Amino acid sequence: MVAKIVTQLQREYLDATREAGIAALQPSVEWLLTFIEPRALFSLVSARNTVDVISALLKSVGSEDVTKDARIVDLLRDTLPIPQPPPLGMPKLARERADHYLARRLAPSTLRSYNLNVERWQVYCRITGYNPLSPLAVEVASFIATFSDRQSYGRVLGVAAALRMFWRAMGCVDATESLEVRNLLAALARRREPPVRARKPYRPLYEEDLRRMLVALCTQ
Amino acid sequence: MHAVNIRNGVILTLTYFLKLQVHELRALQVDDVRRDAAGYLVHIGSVERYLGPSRDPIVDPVRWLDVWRHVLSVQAPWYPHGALLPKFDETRVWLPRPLSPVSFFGIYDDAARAAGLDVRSPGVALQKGFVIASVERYGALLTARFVRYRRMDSLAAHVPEIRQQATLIRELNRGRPQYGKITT
Repeated sequence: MVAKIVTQLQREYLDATREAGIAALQPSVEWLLTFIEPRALFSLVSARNTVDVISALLKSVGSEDVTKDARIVDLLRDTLPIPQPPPLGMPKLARERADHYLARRLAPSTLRSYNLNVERWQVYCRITGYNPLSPLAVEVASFIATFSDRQSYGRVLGVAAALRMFWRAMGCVDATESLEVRNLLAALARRREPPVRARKPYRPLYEEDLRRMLVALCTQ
Repeated sequence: MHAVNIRNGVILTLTYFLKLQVHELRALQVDDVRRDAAGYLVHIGSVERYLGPSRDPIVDPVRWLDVWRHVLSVQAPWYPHGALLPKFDETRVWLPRPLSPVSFFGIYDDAARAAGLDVRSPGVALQKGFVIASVERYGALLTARFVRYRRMDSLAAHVPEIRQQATLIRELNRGRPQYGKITT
């Protein structure tokens, strides 16, 4: 429920940025004010939730958090800080239980791996100037192709899974389902070679070695 | 020096000089080794192998066997026949039973570790290592004959250099009756 509402807010925000034709991850304070003000008129709590979601989004991408600007803080000043019972109409126990299950859906190691891979994607986006939340399929394919150099197929799959999770959580279109990315993954799977067993070869043991062993035996 | 260590020394030297495998070592009986003027005649199954002295007194297998047979006769006169390499329990009291195959590998392990040898899974690697050294020195065919590997393939699995010869022998054996098999 919480995730759904957060997703809804994100989607609204992303749609608004798209309509306004500005970068979703680097919004100007003025535009943010025009986006938030009508919500604040309708409900201060709703406006605050929206700002929180935007702030989290900007933080996750690593761009500057403009929601801490004085004008926006002023606008939301009258809002009480959100207390423990959420404003989203969910009983506390149920919400805690939902959080509990959400947190345990993935193993800690999986979460770590996902975080790392999403970070990789964001760094790549920062370098190339792609939009991490709504990239073209070709851009995702180029990222995966870059990553797959000298990486095992399992790791490439891990990256794809992390991106899928990331976009679903952010309420974006899942680009890994595009034909380009699927074809690339299939090609990489075909490229995969049977694992070579890296075994230490047997080394010859000479009479000196036997001598050393026997000496060690005698001196025990 | 405890009798256990002497027995282990016998095991190591026999493994090295006769390239014996674990099942052959286990099957050795006291009566299977006969003293000669210079060395020992060792019966391994239906084959008789000569175990000569070595120049180095520490690795000399004849010496080790002499000492071991002396220990056997003094410490266990009640043990005239039976396994040449008996088992010792935890308190180092010996039992008139042959060693288990696993304990052989334990003995190899301990010896390799005590000598500080860098070998992979010492228990197995020790025997293979001896065989590889022998291949380097005497060549594959002689070693295979000496070691009595039933099939050279099993040797070739560990010595990549002789794979070609192993393949050749496999080709020669194809279609032959069992009794005419070239086993080297």
